[in-house]
Amino acid sequence: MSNNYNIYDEGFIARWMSNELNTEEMKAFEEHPEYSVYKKMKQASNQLSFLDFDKEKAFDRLSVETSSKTIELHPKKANSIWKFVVSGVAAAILLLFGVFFSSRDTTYNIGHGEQLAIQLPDNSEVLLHGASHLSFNAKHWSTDRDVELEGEGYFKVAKGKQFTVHTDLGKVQVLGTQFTVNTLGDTFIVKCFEGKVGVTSGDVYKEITKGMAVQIDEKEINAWNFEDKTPSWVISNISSFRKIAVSDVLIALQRQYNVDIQGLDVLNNTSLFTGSFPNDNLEKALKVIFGTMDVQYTLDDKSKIVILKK
Amino acid sequence: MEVIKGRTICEEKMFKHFFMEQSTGLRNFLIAKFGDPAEAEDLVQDAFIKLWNNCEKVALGKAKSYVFTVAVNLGISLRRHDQVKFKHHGIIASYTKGYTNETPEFEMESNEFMEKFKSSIASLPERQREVFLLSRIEKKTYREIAELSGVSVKAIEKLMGKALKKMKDQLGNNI
Repeated sequence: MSNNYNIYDEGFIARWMSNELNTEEMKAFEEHPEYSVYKKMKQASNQLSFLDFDKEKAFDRLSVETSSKTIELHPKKANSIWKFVVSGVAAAILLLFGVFFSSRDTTYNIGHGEQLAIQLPDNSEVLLHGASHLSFNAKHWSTDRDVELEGEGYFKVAKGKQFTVHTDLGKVQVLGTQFTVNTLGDTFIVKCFEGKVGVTSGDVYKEITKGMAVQIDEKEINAWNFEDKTPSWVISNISSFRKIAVSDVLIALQRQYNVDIQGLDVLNNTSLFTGSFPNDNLEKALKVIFGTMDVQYTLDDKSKIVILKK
Repeated sequence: MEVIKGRTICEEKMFKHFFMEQSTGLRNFLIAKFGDPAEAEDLVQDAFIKLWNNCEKVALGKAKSYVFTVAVNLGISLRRHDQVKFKHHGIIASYTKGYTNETPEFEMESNEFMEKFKSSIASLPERQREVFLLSRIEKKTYREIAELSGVSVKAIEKLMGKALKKMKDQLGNNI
């Protein structure tokens, strides 16, 4: 038996494997003594596959990691319903202070700079953020849909679900939507990312829709439009503010870094801050905040004390 | 930075669609390349997180090569720290309908052969194994594999030929 094809020419068998030989080449190869082994290998390789890959599960896991790198899921969670700030799930961010309700049977506390995901009885989820406290009445959820939050949280409301978030500055009613609520000092800030929410503060009632924000403090009500699709701290770990009292920015800073700020009297309390700071880099955050206000400071890294100077 | 208008991967729907379309192929590619299924899935996660965080900077048409490049680079940097052995539980033998009609004896024999076959794959040098798996399981053409690794089609055919010969030598005695 002779053939003109050297099967040791690297590439020949490779081309046979992928059915690229012509009929003549094929015929010659079939007569080769090693053909039967190769044929068996080809057949065997057709029976191989990679382990199954669960795309949906991987995507859910991805969504959790995208919401927050340090997130911990509440153990009783079923399938994660974190679908980014996405699709059919309504979401809300709440940043609230000093509200105390009795008869709350479920309570969570997290430390400075931490994050924690919690599932509400109706499958809505809350992402708690930085030195925060959350409680609700799990036993009587069907009749008591009030959530109490101190600090900061990102609410993703399961489709069709409703509840109310109470604060000492006002309340926010979920009307099937995505929104953020922020109470910093005396300032109440609500931003709506999708759908509609009703905001009540004192005798002010305002409904806002997608891309609208309202900021209420003792003196005035401000409304503006924005383009972000998702809160900056969820996507890029940045806290952003618009025309907010300096003292309120410092509250937000302390929530992230647990720093003690001394020498506050050098600050001009009438000035307003517009801008953002990173939540994972204290030095940079200080530079941004005090740099824009033209205030000198020193940071003692060990004791976490910031001293402001003229 | 200027906000890019129009369809970008920053839209959650687009992002999810893209993930559903590309994640399995990427994950299988990473198993073929690095040989560790669990690690491959972690790399997929990391690559897509990076894509999401940089979605404004990555054009839709470049997103695929972006996640592949990111995942491979991360995998390589992991490799610098510890040499991971190819774990062949990442590939499994699944029988086609034709085989279930065969006699039990045949299937038994076949199972045995499949086990030997899989260990012959695991013992291939990295590059040869990668080419073999991408070609035979992922059904990629040599041209596609060549493009993925930035070498010529001839070079891929050579690697494949070497892989097949090596496996044949190992299996030959058992047949």
